[in-house]
Amino acid sequence: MRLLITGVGAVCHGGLGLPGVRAALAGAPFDEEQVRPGDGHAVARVGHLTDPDSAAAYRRWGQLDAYSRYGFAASRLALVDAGWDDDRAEVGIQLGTSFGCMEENQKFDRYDSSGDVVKGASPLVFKGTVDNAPAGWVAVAFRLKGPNATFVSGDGAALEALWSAEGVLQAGRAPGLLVGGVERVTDLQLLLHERDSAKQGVVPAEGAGVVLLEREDSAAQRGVAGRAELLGVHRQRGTLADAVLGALARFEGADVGRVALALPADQPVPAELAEFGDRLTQPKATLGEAYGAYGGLALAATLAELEDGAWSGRAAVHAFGEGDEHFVAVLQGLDDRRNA
Amino acid sequence: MSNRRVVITGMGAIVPHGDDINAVYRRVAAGENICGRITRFDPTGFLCQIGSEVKYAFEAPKTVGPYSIHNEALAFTAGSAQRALAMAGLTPATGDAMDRRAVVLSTGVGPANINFLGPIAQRVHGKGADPYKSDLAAFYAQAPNEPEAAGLDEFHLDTAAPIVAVQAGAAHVYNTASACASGSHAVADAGALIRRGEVDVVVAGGVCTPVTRVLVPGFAMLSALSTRNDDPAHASRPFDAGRDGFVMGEGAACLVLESEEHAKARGAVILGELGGWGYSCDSYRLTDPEPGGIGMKLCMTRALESAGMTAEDVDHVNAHGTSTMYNDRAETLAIKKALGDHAYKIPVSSNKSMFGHLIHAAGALEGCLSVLTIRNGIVPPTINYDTPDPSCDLDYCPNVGREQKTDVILKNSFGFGGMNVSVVYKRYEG
Repeated sequence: MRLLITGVGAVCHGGLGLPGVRAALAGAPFDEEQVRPGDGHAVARVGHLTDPDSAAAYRRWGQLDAYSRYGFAASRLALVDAGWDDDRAEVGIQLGTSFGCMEENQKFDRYDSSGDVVKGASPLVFKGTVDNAPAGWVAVAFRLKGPNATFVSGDGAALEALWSAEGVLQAGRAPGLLVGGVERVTDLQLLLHERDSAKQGVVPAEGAGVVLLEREDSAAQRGVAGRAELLGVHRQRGTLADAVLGALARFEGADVGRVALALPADQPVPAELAEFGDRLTQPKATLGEAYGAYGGLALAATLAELEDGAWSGRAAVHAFGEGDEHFVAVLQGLDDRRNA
Repeated sequence: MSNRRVVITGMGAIVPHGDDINAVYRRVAAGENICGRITRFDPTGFLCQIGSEVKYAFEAPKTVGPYSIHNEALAFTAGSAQRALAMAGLTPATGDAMDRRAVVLSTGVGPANINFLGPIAQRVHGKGADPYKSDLAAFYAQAPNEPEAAGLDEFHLDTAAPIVAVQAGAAHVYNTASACASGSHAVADAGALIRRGEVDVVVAGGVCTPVTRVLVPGFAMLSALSTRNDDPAHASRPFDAGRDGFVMGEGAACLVLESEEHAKARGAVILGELGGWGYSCDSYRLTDPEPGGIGMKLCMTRALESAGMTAEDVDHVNAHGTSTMYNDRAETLAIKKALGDHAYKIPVSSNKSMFGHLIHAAGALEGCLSVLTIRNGIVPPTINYDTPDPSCDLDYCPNVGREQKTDVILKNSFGFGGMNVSVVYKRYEG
């Protein structure tokens, strides 16, 4: 069964949806923040998200913490983009994250809990202290009764969610799944980032990238062609070059038009991938290091570029997994979104 | 896509009832309560003062590969995985064989990383430090420059699973975060990986250390916890009319799942079979179950379909059975909707009546106990069942375990966010 990406939504420092992703790719400026006096951190910050359309879509929008809002808004946009307005009870959602609800956890931790109860704390804050809160809110708001999962698997979490979604859809457990990643940057995370040698050269980022991955039979029934076909998600241990080349060799198809690597901009591309020339991109240079959300945002960026005619044929979108594992999603662009 | 049979070859746990899963089962089958007054911190004055704690010394690795096992969550995890792998007779895979193994662990529900705050703060500030009173800004400022040395890396949510991956020699690792459904979610995802041929062996499980000064009052604030503080032994009373919430528990449990052919090829003792699994989402409210049990019913039905079974095949339901007013009522309704009249003919019991709710470890532990129920033929009781609730009218196996040949168990797990998972455990017949 072919799996199609029929919708895409995103929240990033460039703004909402694909226009926001395009703005980020075009070099939307990062913020400068201090955690301690005297220091400075560049941050690809979304901040307090106001989205009137999300607020209109769900009356409890005001209760959502920032982490949940990002996931919610990106998911809503993906549903809208897919034109899936009704009969979506079987649809599910699978999101990835690396730090999850840490901000709400920190808020909760700061309450005085020495007395008889947590003084001053609101049950509404406590709701935000579960890592699956975004997926839960989305399911509640849009009445999605399908499989609902949150993966907390580090930087590869979004593509891990996509990899898992393939199996769920191929097993016929849902007609479609919202899939992607969500992350909220906290001060603690900034401190982690500055001490992590593997993260130097990239700007910590927050936001969400979500696609609607749909079985072809479901899309056909709804009369939707989709933006791209997901040929598969390849996971492989070893070097980055081996993983990308292994993925492209595994999924036969048209010429490779785009290879999006999760390398920081200042790190050299492996020589084995040099053959791809200007088809290689390093989206973290402009999107930032969005940790568990990165894979979702990279997918959104690649789909924006497809829509803009920047590539055709196949695309490989890479993210780092745990240890020396890599995830590579391979997409096949559909020439005419509505008639393919 | 392949459709391989999934079998269970190892189980391990470090939980309040003990660190030998067979002994834990015997105590649970005998209806032995383990809940008591919280000792992890002084709960005086707290709304809820009851917990289910690991109070004994247990053996766990001090280091695993590059990882130091320096807090209880990691010790529970590494210890339970070590026991499960030993029972399965598995040593760590190496080389390409690692690609055929995976770890799916349930972590990250609730403020999981707050669980790590205590040990971290104490390492930074010294043993006497009160992690919940410490000035976080000062804590950050004093942290050494290396994140691992500071323990700051533990704020990543994927800390425990890579440790188990080293123990198992597994290349593929991920964590599920489906709130209280996470443990069964991990088992179900592990089954799916094996069934569709992605890997041959998965260590699946969950870990939770929620008996903290933050989480206990937090859950109490949602009216989720029992406040029967003067009688902790009778606080967890699923399906009883007098229930008033659950008891927070801690620990970890792991199962080793394998493809049937892999287990047989290496001569492993097969303990049971994972027949099928189902997922659903209530899409109702973030912290309340849908009162009609529609989502719960759906995941049970899907699990039976996945197992190729009908309601009449089920011998016993190992219920989620939290002891909250809402869950137990909705779950009862859902079981009746899923199983029809057959629901009245089989025991439905809640292991949580003995040891409380181990949150993300609950599904994995109760999965282990389901396998042992099939093997030992005694259905654990629902203890503290004194007063029937008219809205909970099934046979809850009250207070005394029941000898019964049991071939098929439907295990339910439900969580915040409306996440529902049901797993079918069955007797293995080769």
